[in-house]
Amino acid sequence: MKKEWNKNIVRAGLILSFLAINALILFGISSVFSYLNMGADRADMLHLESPMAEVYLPKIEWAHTNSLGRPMEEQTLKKIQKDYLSAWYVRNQAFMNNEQQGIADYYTDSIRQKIYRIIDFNKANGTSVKGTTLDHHPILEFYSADGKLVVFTDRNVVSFKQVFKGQTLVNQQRTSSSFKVMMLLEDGFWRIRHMVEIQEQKDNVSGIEVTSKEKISEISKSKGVNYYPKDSPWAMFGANFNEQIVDKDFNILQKMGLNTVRIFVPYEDFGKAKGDEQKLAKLKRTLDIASNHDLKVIVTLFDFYGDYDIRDWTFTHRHAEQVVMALKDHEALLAWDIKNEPDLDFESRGKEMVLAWLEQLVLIVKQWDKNHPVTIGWSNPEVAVQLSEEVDFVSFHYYKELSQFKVAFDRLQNSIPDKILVLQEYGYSSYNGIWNGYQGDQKDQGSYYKQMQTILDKEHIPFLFWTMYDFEEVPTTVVGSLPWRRERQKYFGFLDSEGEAKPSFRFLDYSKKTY
Amino acid sequence: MKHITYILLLVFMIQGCTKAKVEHTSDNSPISLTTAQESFVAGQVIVLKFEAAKSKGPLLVITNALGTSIIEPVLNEGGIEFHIPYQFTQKAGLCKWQLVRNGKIELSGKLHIIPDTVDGRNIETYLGPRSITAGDRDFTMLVVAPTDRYDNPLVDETPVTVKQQFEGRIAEENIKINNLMAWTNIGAPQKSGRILATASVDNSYSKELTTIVYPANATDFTIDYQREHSYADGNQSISFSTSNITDQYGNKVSDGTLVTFMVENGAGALLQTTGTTIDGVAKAKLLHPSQKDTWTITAFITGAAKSSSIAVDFESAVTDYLVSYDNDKRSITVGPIKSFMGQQIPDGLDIQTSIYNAQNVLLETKHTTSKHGYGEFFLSPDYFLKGKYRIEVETAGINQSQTLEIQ
Repeated sequence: MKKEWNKNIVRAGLILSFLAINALILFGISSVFSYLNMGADRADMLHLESPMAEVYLPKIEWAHTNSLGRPMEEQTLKKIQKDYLSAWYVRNQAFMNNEQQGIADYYTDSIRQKIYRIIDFNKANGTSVKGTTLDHHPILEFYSADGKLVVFTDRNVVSFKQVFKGQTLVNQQRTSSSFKVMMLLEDGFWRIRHMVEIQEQKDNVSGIEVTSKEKISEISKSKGVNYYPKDSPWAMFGANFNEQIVDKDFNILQKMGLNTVRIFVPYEDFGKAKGDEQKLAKLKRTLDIASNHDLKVIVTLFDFYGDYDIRDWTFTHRHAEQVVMALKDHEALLAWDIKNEPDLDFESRGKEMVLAWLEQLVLIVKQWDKNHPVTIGWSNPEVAVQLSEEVDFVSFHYYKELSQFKVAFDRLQNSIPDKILVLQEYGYSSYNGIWNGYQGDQKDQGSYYKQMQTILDKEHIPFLFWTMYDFEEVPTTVVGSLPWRRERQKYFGFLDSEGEAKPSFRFLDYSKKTY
Repeated sequence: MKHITYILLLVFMIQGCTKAKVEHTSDNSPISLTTAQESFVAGQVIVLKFEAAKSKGPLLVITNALGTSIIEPVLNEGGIEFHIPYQFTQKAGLCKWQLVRNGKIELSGKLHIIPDTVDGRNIETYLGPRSITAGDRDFTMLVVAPTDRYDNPLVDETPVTVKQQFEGRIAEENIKINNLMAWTNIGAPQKSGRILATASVDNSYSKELTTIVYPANATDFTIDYQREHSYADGNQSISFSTSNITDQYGNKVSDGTLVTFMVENGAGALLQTTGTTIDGVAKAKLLHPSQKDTWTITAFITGAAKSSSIAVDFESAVTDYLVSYDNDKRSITVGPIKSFMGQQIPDGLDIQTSIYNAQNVLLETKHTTSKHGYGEFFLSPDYFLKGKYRIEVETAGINQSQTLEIQ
């Protein structure tokens, strides 16, 4: 009997090893085959010019005054601009890494030596500089008759830089400077020959206007919801965008006596720096629909963005510019929310970095849109004091103990007494299942809202709760793949995934309440 | 709350992000600048002195048009001082400094550094276009970018003297630097030649630059011809030449200007030959025709000028010739063909024979060229059966028609 067993084991072993060897051989052959088939694409034979990735996109506006010499051709100006910005880019990179790479392409021989000397000095002293320029206003001064030499004054160049000694941040600052620049056309490159910093001319630097008090006070009447459609949460403007659904939802919100919705503009989804015309059109349409239902919209920018690196700033600025410019005159627009819960990135990205990025964006969004207040959607009341000077009103989220809310709110209001506070997100999940030990259900959600709305109504705190619907699917990019997080996130609605009212609906229905 | 973990995902993506820690020292003692001077000459030693209790802590961040650096303080009696490195003192323009302590800017200021005008100037000159056309419309531009010995462009309003030389005359002009450089236009003279240009600032001089003044477009001209004889022998060549071609200011056109001679013969066919000018004159040749003809010749410089037309007559070189046969009348011999002095016509004269049958239907046209004054044809028995035929021979513009009977 035992012998029989051993035999079978040996047989099984033989068969399995035979299969395994075959599998390995097949795998080996296929690897060799695929290795031999890879390599240069046939199209490589054509030596097609690959478009250079856009790596640096600060805002640049040329002023064509009466420049001397030859009249400037549009094509040449574009080339000069491209090479001039590349010159800035390679220099920023060079000072960040203390390496000479790229400098030779955009600086003539004598000026490049001077840059190299500073790089060597910084390298020896352990200094590195992370910087970017944000705004250029060049005025063409002179273009030579043979089209090989150009002089311009780049006025009020807004730049931001962080100076490091070793790993330590010594100083970070936003500065504005003006330069006189001479560029020469050499080997098809426009290269900087001279660059001299000159005294800033302050006269027409437009100061940032203060957003009007009336606009800000409109916020204090906000009663609303963080909105995503039932079937396309966190992907509202994708292929599933349906005007009828949005219209139906906004109709419900209007009938509930609410006046505000907060929507999200994802950074990558909206084409990053390039902008996605189609999605912008959908966003505009959403605002149109909101306007039809007397709803005001808080637009939250940079959803799902988390880089903040200085090298990325010009892209984010171009992105914001496109969205802001497209919507700034829309009557349904209530306010700009720069970013949702940026404080969650403090640890991974560095608090200074995130705050600096936010501050710049608040400044430029205000520059582009002087009529709408700007805020930042902090994830909790404790952190909301950050940049409270810069924003027009302070927004925070609250998902902690209901009993602690009033205390936290008062503490925040006391530390920034002159700013309106908006409870921009709060809510309670009616999830009742294995992951929370069957604790909490729709009734608990109802009683949460009952108590919360009582406080909010009594204190006249503007609020936007989270959210309208229960969602059947929550993307892993939102809360990760841990089931206790995802499941919980599915049940924050006051309507269930069928669109039926949950008990909490009663406490959020302001059509039957009197304020 | 809801976007918690996507951030965690992003953490992995870019590692180049340095975590920024702000330097903290708990020093709040007062600090003040004691260096009053703000204006310096490039290359001058710059030391910024501060009155401070401690030497540790503060750092000086300096920025000029080219870069930013951090300078460590040096202890001095009663304070600290910062020695600005040559990378910054030698660069003219604004140099901004900030005294940073505990991540905060305590003091800030600007240094105005002006170019060192005392000695060792360097003058860069750019002249272009490097070739221009004579006349009142074209010009070349001289851009002068003088720098001091540290390669800093000189300040606005610095006078620059520009000199230009053409045909022994030297003209001088005084211009001023504006926007890093000074510039002037040098107009083209009416004569072709070379303009030499140079610039100077005080006692510094640039190198010499040249622009070539090319003659302007050609004006209309005349042509003439030369030949050995007037016979249409198909052997000698006729040579055409232009008059001296000049522009409107009397400059001979540039050597190598292409002149196209168009010849129209008596039948209306066009012949063409080209030549390029040397010293204002272009020459070109064509072979004589092989029969009496009259040519009309016009020359062109495309897009610029044309000549008057001339006519040339050619008279026949051959007056007559014999056509003879062998016995069976299958071999036809044309010749001797004699030229104007009775000499054999040069080899290669085209001879054509057309063969007709008795019904006067063209059966075949044969070609050959003359050799030693003769041309031969053979009527193959495979194609030409016995019978009566008519042949028509044509050469040098002379026709002969004969009937023959192949036996």
